[in-house]
Amino acid sequence: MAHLGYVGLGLMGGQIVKRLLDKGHVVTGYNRTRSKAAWLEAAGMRWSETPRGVAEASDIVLSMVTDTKALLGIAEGPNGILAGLTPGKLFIDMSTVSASASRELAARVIATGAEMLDAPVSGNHISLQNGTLAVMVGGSAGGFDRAKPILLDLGPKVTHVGGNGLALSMKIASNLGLAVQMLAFCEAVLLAEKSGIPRKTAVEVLVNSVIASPMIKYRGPFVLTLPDEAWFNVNMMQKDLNLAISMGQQLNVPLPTTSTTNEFLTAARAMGFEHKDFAAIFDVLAAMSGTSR
Amino acid sequence: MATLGFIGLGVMGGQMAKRLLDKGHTVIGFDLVAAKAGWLREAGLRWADSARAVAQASDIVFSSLPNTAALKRATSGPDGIVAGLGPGKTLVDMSTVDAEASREIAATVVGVGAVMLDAPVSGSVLTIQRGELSIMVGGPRDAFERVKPVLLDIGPKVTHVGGNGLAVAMKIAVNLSVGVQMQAFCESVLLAEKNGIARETAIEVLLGSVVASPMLKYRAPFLLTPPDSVWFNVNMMQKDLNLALAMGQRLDVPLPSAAASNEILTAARSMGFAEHEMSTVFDVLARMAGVTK
Repeated sequence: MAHLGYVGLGLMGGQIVKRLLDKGHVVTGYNRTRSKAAWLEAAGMRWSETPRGVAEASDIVLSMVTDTKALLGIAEGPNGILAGLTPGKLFIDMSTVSASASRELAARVIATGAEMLDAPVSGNHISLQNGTLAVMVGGSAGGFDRAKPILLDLGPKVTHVGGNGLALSMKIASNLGLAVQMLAFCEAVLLAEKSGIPRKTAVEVLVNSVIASPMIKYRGPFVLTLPDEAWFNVNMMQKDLNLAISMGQQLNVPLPTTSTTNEFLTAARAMGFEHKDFAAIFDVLAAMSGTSR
Repeated sequence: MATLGFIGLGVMGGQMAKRLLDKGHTVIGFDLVAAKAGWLREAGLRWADSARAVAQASDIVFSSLPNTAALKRATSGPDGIVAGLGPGKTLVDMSTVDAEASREIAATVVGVGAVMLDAPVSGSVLTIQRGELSIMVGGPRDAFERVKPVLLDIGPKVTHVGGNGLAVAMKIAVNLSVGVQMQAFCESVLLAEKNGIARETAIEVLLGSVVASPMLKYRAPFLLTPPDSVWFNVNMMQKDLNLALAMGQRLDVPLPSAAASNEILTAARSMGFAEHEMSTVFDVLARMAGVTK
């Protein structure tokens, strides 16, 4: 079995490493804050002091960090992943970042003799636990074939969408639906509620209706109680919509529902919900409707 | 077993009547266009010559009509449903109509000693055939309990949401998401496609992702191959969004994403797609994006 590495052990990255360990893989990991990885070390993960150390110790290095800047942070410099890559190694970045930045990084990886794939996911830590995570992959067909058996250990749906950066394009295109669907869901709940239907009943009907996507099924109930820890906060959601909108402008694709929804994320931040799950757009709309949570 | 009546045997009504026949019920039916019922008469449906005659012969009368005006026409007058109702009978209206109008008809029905429930559905022809239809019910709880076993023969999810008119209010709240989700989905596909991802691949990935609601699963393939027959056209979708927007203005619930989607439906009508399946919003956005099929 190939020796795996993982850089970025947050909510999602940590759960992914746990799943890889459970499947019997050897995993060397690194995170900026080591304490977050204690439970993984207890589960058998080996620790490395730098991203470079992870890359040196592994055949296949995976990563998941919050944004483009953080990705460049773990990839560049004397202690970065690039410095530890050599011919034959494979680098799989699972972060949701700018597609063009990912392509540029892929070119620098090739210069070391290694290869890079972008492999963002659709789903969250619950989808992962339920074994329903979907993974999109961009890069060469050869790299995809090497990565596929490992990615299938994370989720049942692994799709090669095209060359470097295209999985990220697909991910960003996919994610706009999260925010738009959630806003329409909140509109529906408030419309039902002000008609006289209890909020709980409205949520129950909606999560059993034809519009109940997997995302609506898990996030819809957040309009009753927001989780203490955000699954995907307002700022992260807005980051993805901003990526979509700038991509739309660059490629001339009008995104009317996405643009409308993005303004509600701005309002959510303005109202102090930036670190809450983006289901807090319900609170914005509720306030505009003269009601509240 | 109670004798059932069914008025309005179009695309949805016909399929529901068929399901009731398949479950062994005696069903008496009527439609303004007798030809629509030919296949059902072959399947055992008994024909009556008016809506009134159906109501006279049945314990429970169902109706499934395209809009508020059609429901008013079917219920009023000497040959209408109300003229044939009497004590002990129940009218179950499954149409998607204005909630106020539904409540007014319910009051007329109570005037003749019968009771009315509004029982709109969430789903399509395919959902009915697969036995996955969800039904929302508004009206007195005892009448709901009486009719529930028959409704369960049509679909597995039957929810009492409150008094008369509240189920149609709930239905309209659900349906706004059909318009919004479909449009956000089209935005995703076009954004992916103009990045260089094949349309088929983009659709496949999206349907494997967390945004894939049951509605998107059956409607998305229409982007590749238009359906043989139209289930839900642009005018019908806009009718529901107009009902939602009017309700939102009356109850003071801002509906930003529904309003944005409604404008694209107006564009679809202007471009000659009024009678096309509502998935044609893709053609509007594609044209706006400079994409020709």
